[in-house]
Amino acid sequence: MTNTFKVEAKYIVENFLMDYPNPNTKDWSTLIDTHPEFAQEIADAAIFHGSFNDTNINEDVAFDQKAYDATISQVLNHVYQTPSPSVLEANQKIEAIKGPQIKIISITIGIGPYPVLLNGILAGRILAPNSVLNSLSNFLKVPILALQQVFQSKFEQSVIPSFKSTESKPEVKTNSKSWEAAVRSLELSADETVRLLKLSDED
Amino acid sequence: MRKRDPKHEASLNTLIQLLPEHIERLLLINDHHNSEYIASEVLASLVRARYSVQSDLLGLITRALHRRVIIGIHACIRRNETLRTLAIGNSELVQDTASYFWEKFFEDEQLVPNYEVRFGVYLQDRVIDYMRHLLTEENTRESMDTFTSIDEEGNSSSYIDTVSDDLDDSPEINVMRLQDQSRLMSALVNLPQKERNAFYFRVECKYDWVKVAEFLGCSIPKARDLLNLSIEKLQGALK
Repeated sequence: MTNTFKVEAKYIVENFLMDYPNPNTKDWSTLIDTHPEFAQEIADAAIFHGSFNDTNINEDVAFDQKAYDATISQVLNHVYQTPSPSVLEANQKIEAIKGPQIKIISITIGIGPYPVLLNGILAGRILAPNSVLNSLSNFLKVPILALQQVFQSKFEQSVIPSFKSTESKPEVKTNSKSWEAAVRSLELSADETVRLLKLSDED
Repeated sequence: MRKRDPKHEASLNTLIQLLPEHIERLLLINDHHNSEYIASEVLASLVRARYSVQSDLLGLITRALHRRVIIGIHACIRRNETLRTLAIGNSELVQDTASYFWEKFFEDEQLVPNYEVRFGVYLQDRVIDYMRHLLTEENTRESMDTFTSIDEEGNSSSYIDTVSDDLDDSPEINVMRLQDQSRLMSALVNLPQKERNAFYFRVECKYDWVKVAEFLGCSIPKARDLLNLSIEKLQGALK
């Protein structure tokens, strides 16, 4: 049996369990009938999953502190020392959006022909409403949370403007601009402004 | 593309608007009946995206999730006879399984990994993977398919071909069907794969012999023999 075959079988079983977290024999049989080529792998998964009994797992038992202590550093090291693959991927995809693509994507994700808004979002200067983030996430095929991490990081890393000595004190923006402020600053027609502001209705 | 539970999605979106101090307070809630309890799927999403990596908050989120991983693995062991047996001989079973779990967690590159969909199911699936790995290491028994039988004249043939081909289900099968499901499955786990699968296809799923043989990739008589072998071993294990 090839590794690819095993991986494919595993994938099928794991996805099946997402839809049927407590499958019975009939559910497993249906899966076998749908994927007879993986019958043995499915049967094996059914046997192993069936070997867990329904004892109430919420009953109080001593927490295994020893196991926790022995492994937590390893997990924390991994979390802090390795970048999130989804954030890296999101960053790469965002970096690749350039030139005329920005306007095309703006229209595709429902913002309209206003690249300045998408540019601001991608640079972390404008807080995008959830509906826009959702559309962008679907378009780029990266998780929303990863997008937000990239935008936040871009905003934090953005160059702080230098100031020549004047009478006033220099001001550095510490927060991204709200969607409403960004839309209103474009001074579009009333209809377009309302349409764009409505994008943040679900928030 | 698989999607998160809308309830988890909403919870995630709400959570990331909160101040870090507020999230820290919520992380202390361990009772999943509490309405403010953060679902493990949500914590997993935050860890995966390295949410708030510049602060200590990510560490706190990771610790909370790791705590649940340890509790979950411990619960799996308590619910599984084979794992309980393996734990007797391996005092580090929980931590080894936890390390394996996290290795798989960090390797997953799906857009929405299954641990963000159903964390408990994903965790049990990884525990099973690790259990299978341990059983494979431990199980040095040869498959019956490789045994050979030598007759009086010195001719050798595959053992499996020498077993009689009785096409009716034995009375033992009916007894097996009445067994406690998890106990039976637990005993099955310890059999060689072909034997346990033969049992599962025929006794559990009640497929006809043509199908059983097709799934096992062998002849009907061989499938019958695999079933008989599994029954013989199960009878011993379930006594």
